[in-house]
Amino acid sequence: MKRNSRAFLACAYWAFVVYLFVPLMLMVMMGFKDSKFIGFPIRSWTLEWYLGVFRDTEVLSVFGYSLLIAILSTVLSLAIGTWIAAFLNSYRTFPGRMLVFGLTLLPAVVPGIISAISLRIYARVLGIEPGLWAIVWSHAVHNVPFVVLVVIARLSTLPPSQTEAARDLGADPLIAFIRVTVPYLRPALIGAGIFCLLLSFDDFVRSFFLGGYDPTLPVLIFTRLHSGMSPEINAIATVALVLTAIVGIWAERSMRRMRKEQNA
Amino acid sequence: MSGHLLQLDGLRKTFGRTVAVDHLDMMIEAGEFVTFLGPSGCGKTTTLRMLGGFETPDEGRILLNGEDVTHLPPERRNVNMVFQDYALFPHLTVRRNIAFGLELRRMAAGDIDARVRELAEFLELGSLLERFPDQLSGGQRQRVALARALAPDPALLLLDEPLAALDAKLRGQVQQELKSIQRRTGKTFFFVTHDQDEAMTMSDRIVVMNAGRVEQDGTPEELYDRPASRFVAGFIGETNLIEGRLKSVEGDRAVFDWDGLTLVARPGHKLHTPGEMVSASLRPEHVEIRTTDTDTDGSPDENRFEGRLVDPVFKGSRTVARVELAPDRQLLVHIDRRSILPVDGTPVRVTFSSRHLSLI
Amino acid sequence: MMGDAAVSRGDRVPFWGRTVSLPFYKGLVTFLFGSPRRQFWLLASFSIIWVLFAHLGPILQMLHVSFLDGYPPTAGREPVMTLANYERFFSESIFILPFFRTLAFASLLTAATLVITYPVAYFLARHVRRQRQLALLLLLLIPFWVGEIVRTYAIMILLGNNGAVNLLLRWLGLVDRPIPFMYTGFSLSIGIIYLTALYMLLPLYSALEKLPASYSEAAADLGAGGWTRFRRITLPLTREGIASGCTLVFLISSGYYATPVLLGGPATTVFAETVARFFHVAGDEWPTGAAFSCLMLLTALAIAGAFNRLVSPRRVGAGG
Repeated sequence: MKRNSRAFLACAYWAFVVYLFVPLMLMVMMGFKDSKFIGFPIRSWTLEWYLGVFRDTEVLSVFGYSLLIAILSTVLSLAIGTWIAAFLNSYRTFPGRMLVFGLTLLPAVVPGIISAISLRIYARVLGIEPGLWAIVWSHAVHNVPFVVLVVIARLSTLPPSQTEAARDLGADPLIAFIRVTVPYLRPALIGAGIFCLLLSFDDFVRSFFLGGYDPTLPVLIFTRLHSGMSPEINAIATVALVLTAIVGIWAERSMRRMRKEQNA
Repeated sequence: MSGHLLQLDGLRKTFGRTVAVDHLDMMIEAGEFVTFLGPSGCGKTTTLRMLGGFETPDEGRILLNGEDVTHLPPERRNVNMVFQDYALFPHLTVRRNIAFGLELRRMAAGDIDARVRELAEFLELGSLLERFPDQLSGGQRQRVALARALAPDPALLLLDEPLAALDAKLRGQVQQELKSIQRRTGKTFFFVTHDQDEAMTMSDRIVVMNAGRVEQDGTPEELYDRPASRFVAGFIGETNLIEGRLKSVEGDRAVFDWDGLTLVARPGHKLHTPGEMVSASLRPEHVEIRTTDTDTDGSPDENRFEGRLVDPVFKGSRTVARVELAPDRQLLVHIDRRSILPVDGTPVRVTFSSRHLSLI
Repeated sequence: MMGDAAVSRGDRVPFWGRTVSLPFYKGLVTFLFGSPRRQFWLLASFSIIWVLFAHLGPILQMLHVSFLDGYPPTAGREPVMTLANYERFFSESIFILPFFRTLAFASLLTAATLVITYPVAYFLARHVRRQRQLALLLLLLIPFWVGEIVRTYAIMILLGNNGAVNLLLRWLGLVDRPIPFMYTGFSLSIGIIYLTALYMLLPLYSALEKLPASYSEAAADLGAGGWTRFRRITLPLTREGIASGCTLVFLISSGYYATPVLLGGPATTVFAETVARFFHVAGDEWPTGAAFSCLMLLTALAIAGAFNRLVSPRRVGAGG
């Protein structure tokens, strides 16, 4: 009985793994197909589509644009999120704290399309033109809740004596924060930062509604898909996939190393 | 303007409805090793934190070298602190930890190096300078914390139970070290602890606090021999607290009645009038025990009783027991192994001098 | 005794030492951190302004626009407050239908995701050694770092008429002609579960992982069989994980736009597509889109909140 249930659960797990990986692997494979026509079976293979990605200046500049947006919005989210986390962590008895905390998490529970539309309307009201800064701003709004959650979790484990010791040794509150609190937060900031990078780089709906004429990478793939599937899109998507997977795995590894250090 | 290093003037601090420190007045001289002793919640840590600048008093003033520092933030006081958890910065090496306060004092890099080296040598940290705090043992961390706090050459060093995290065996050794460091640097140490043993070992002066107030302020010997209150008598060392009605006071002889037994004691800090209920403290080691057949008539001790030995407990160098003088009147005693064989129920004769029985 | 001697030597002063002595810096710090009250306001003011301005602002503005009769504003005409945008929703079935379809669809998918991921989470938390758990979990995480569009596209390739599934079915001789999986509720479901499974899996895993195995063992000791143990012990004790996983998946899956566009067909139009249309066409359609968005946000949050209340274990003695 016990062995049966274990076997069933193991099957469920591996079936789930297959479900997650097979579509992506097929997509990667299809990028090597020597035909303009998407579909199986694949009879002959080529590298042409992948080489094409690196020759296509539009695609390359879109990569750069997406990366720029991801970096800018991540920096912004980290700064704002840390600020709010510091506030929420320092004044635990402040009467409006739960309200501020709830509002901080609000963008995380608003469904994507509604978030994008409300931000689109708001950008219009504020006079922010659709484009780079509108997207950066919308991504920052969406990412701040995650940064706050991660940073506050770490901040709450900082012994108060750490900053007190810095003050005691002659540091004013600002220097104490920069020289003691920020190094302590480093793992949380790195983890949250990578999460933000991925969220921003992968985001479609906000970039779509707040973008100007220049598409981000997901928007480019989306619009090209509208005019039909082609192995070229597979190649672009695969390069994006490899990029995000590398960042993700690297993040996971560094997070785990830090967790180990923490436990030691 | 007097020459006191530190003067506390009517210091008071409340947290909500709790009064943590209640009108504290005190002078501390340069070079003293002062210990604030008391149970947790007695206000000793709050006092320390007010001196460090981490709490602002509700009332009163703190004068450091005659200068009012009551409202100065911690970074602008010439006072440094050794924290209970040491609060070493985990991302900095021992060297950078010690240099932290110096870097912020516009000290030149070369001078910082020299000062760090000097302290490392003094505290035997030379081989540890490039290590990180998590690579140090408890005792080493404690020394680094001390070096870091001493580095900026503070007028006053605050120590917040810095030995609490060490195991019992190491603690004894570090107590000796700390005392010797204090003596050699000539710094004023302001030490806070709840451990009376620790306080007795190291301090020049002990301030016993309870419920936000000072119970007694004096040398370890004064506190032990002449406790000013029942609290102090009970908190420091083991003691017999004897309660009775005062019969007469003549010079240094106070006679009182302990449920039918007449005792001669030494008058204490307070003035008592005959007829009043009084308490007296008698340390167990001051009670002499002999077998009943020994002749004790030659003993100069005023108090002499006969009783029965009960519940002896062997503790190595001595045996702790009680002597029942009469029903419900027992004395805690320490028995030297050479004097008698401590067997339960042995009839004994106890004597103690009035010098050791002091009224509270 | 130290500072002055150091400066006169002409030796290099460390960076922080130089910083604290700058008059401008000193003034700034005194201004910002002069007292505990100032420190509080420094941290509080920006935080409160940000959440009100950037987090609440867009939602409130959307609510405001939803009551206007025209937006973006046309020159020389003041917009008038009206309920017409909301009335419009209830008047036409092409609006109402996608609305309820989305809610029903999101609920069904949430339930399906729960059923699919619970065994996976259970296997990881209960049947795998501690050291291997993280590796196996990481394996599941990798696909989720890949973006929504790329993963949607991968599903398109999988399910197309010339896709891998149809190829396999034909090769096995089960069908003669390809089954049209694409542009149906089926393809959309597969795609959305593919996107949201992680948001269910992680809360379930952490709830199961926290649960001591001894509870189940105690129940077994008392004679409970496998199914009884699961139903009476494990399931109730992981309610919190189930609640947060379901809430997340429900809210996220009701908010997808690109995936329904790419994977769905005319029969599966979801409300996100309906709403988005008002922002693509020219003309004064924004207020209607805003009104529809408000309706959807309110309904989605209400359902999620009600569900959470129902499923989450009540904390004994916890106020609020």
